[in-house]
Amino acid sequence: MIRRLKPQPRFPTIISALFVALVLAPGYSRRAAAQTTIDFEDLPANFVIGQQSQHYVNLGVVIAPIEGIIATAPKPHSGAHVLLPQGGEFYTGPFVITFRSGQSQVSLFAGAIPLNPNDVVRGTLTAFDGNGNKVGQDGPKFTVPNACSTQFGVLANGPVIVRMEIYLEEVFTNGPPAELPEAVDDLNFKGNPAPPLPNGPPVVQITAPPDQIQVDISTLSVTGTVSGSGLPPAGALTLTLQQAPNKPQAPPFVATLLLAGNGNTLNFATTLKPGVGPQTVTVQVTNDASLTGMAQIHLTNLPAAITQQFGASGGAATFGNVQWAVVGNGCSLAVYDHGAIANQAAATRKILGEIFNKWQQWILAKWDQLYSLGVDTFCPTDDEHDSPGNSRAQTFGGARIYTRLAAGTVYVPGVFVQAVETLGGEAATGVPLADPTSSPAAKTYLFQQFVRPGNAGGPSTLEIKGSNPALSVERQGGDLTALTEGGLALTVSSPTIVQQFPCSSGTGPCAVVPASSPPGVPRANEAGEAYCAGQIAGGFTPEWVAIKNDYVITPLWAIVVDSHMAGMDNALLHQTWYDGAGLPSDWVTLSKPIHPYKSLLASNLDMEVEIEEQFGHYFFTGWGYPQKGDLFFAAGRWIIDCGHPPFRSEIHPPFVTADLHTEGNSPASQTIANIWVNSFYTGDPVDIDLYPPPRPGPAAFLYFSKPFDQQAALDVQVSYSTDPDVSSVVTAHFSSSTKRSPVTANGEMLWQGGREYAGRWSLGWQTQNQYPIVTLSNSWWP
Amino acid sequence: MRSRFLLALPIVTVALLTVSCRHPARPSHIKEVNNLRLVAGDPALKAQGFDFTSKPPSPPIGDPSEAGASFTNIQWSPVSQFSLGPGQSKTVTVNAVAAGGVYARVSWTEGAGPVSVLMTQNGVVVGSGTSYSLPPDRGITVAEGKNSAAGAVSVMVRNLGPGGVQVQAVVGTLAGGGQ
Repeated sequence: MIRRLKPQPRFPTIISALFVALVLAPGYSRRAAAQTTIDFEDLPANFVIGQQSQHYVNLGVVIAPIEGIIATAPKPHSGAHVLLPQGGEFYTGPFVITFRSGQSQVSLFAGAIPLNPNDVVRGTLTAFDGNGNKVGQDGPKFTVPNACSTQFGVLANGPVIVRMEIYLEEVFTNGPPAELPEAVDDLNFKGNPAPPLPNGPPVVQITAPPDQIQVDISTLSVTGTVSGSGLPPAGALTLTLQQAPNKPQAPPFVATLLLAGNGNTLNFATTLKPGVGPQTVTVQVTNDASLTGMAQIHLTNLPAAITQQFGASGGAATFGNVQWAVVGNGCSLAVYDHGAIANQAAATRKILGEIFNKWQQWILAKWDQLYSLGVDTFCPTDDEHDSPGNSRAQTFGGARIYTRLAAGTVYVPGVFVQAVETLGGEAATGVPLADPTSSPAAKTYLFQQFVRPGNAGGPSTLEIKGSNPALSVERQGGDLTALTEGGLALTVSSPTIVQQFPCSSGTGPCAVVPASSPPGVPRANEAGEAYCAGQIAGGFTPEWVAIKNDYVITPLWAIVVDSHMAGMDNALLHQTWYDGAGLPSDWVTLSKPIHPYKSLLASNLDMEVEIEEQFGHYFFTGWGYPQKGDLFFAAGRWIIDCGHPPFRSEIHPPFVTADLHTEGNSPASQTIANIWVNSFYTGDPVDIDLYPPPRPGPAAFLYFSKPFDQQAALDVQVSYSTDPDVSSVVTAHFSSSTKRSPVTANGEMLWQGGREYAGRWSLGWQTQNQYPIVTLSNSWWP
Repeated sequence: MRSRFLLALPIVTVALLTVSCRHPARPSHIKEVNNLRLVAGDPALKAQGFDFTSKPPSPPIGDPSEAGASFTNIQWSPVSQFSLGPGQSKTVTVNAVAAGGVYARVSWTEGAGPVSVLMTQNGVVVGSGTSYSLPPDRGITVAEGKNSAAGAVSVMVRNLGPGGVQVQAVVGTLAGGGQ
């Protein structure tokens, strides 16, 4: 129940008692034939008197607009029943009893149940004539708590009373009084007999707004008339929104509609907040004979921009009829039979065709989260447009939908859209191969593959996986930047480059940031002075100077853009060379670093990794020379080449290298890594993260091979580990005893032999079918 | 030293270790296979097998950016290979076409060395070498000098060690060069 705080004037109890004594004679009730007394004993408990059944209408009594219910408490004045207002939790009185004909005297016994048994209850009965003028009043006066035993009454000069109101309130020691549901018993009245009941329903007419109107409003004014006899003081107005089908429907808005005026024609006028989209306003009025009249109008309330777009785009021929609409977060969406129109931030966009069908599946699947996600999640942020591979796409606040793909129309969740856009766009990642999937049991919460139309190479994979969810972006050639910089094309052999970003949950969001490199070589623009002993014009005393230290291992990851014998080398500073005009010695691997390893560059745009070919001849001829387009890892001495300006940085010599490419086709493709640890290796730990090709499915796990250690390692310790979920990476660990190869005054590091690891590791995937895979449905839609 | 090409991955190792404790790793599928070659067969492990007389395994490609490097103008004499007993020396003579730099690289094997290098022109010492021993049985000496005039420059290679050594020497001149 609810208490309405309503300050009341305080009248001395004695005055109230005197008033009752004056207006009511002893034996007032049940005294004459013209008198009627209703004791409510003819109805069962819980019987409701109101719109459905005005049980006492034949006696000339109407309980309205608040219905009454037969109750057994508080204690009745007579018998076992009282009449209580049925106001529900939010009851606000007073309790009104209307007479269909004028009465000259009315009385009743009233009482209430206070919240606190020790509080007193105060009440007032007020009587009104047909013009709403007060005829008389009894009270305020105190009543007996918990009992319907205090009599109230009003005596008028003639049969003019058509309405009486009883109001009871609990009086608190501290604070304002609060209304209580007023119980009534032994209602007695005397006056004119009740007129005949109407034999037809009221005629209800809504004069405004007109039917079938298209509006853009935030306030709806409804006016009209009700004609007929036996009209009640109020009817009911219902506002019903047309909502998405087959979804839980929000209840209609229902309000009491007060009827004003006298006689057989009454008026109504009210304002309310309309919904958005198609809706129906219904006014119902039930007369004293329980006959109901009704009027109804239909209107569509949409932003004018949507209505204009609808008309400009072919109207119903294009979209069909409007079905439902939603608004929120600055986005209005109108959904028609064959399309939708959105309005957000002064932009109006259409959703049509297959994209509309997919979009509708999406929004209906997420219907119960519509407002928690925000309506703008479903609002388009661009128009349908061309996308790679002759496909079409449209982006929304929380997703992108592609159509005209080999797989038809495909949904990409927003967390992947954001990653794609941040990490090079569609050109770098591609368009979706299929809808996303999931395999929570395999700790893969969101998985989707993409293809780059017109490019060789297997699908890219975006997935959120792992015990600590992280977004993994797995693409052959990465974002293609290094390949493009090197003038190389993506091929089936292109290596896989992986980026990972932490996520808040298995569906995101994820902290995706573009790759970058921190500040690079200190004083790179003055390397002659800073590193080369003032050899501004270049020289070879020294020829190579370590940027950090001769034995600090500096790692590089890069894409190989060339790999060849040096054309000419300085025999003074090389231990081996081949026969030829330039005494060539070094094998040069020229590469484009990927982020964050661009920091290793000085004035050079490529990174050279140089080692005398004859030191690596056995490895190169057994396992292979680095090839253009390979992903190349080199860890070694980071130097400035002082031979000539502009001064370049190099890894010279490398101590550890790994050369990676892809073999085979997805899903059976493998990453091939030829790993070489040479005799320059200092023994400090080196870890190499080896990634397989893009994961082919959410329940695929790492499968890899490596050579027997005893056949591959000499004076080098090797081990490996994987990520905890065996679904991402294999890390090769290398270490050995400390070794410091001599370095000449010219900066030449001298080869001593004695230490090597050479081996081919291959990494692929194996799907484990015990982990179920979830696809898009009403119960799972990321 | 740990190297990864993962970009922007602030996932701490501690977290991964924690996770690995709570969730046993799925069976990883690893297969160990025979190596393509036995690493022990690599002659470079013993600093052997180097071949100064064969053609390179693929055509040399010049680096355009090195075209101006001073070393590219050094005129190298043919490689000399000879034996030196304890205390023995051998002199290699080159003809400098102009004043400039004289350079010699001497490698020795099969003995502890060291092997010294002394450069003279017309009886005047114009340069000497610095030796780097690579125990137990090899090393190199790098020598640089500056000849003041055109003409013959003598480069004397001497075995200072207690045993014999095999020597390989290459000498070059750079007109106008020298540092």
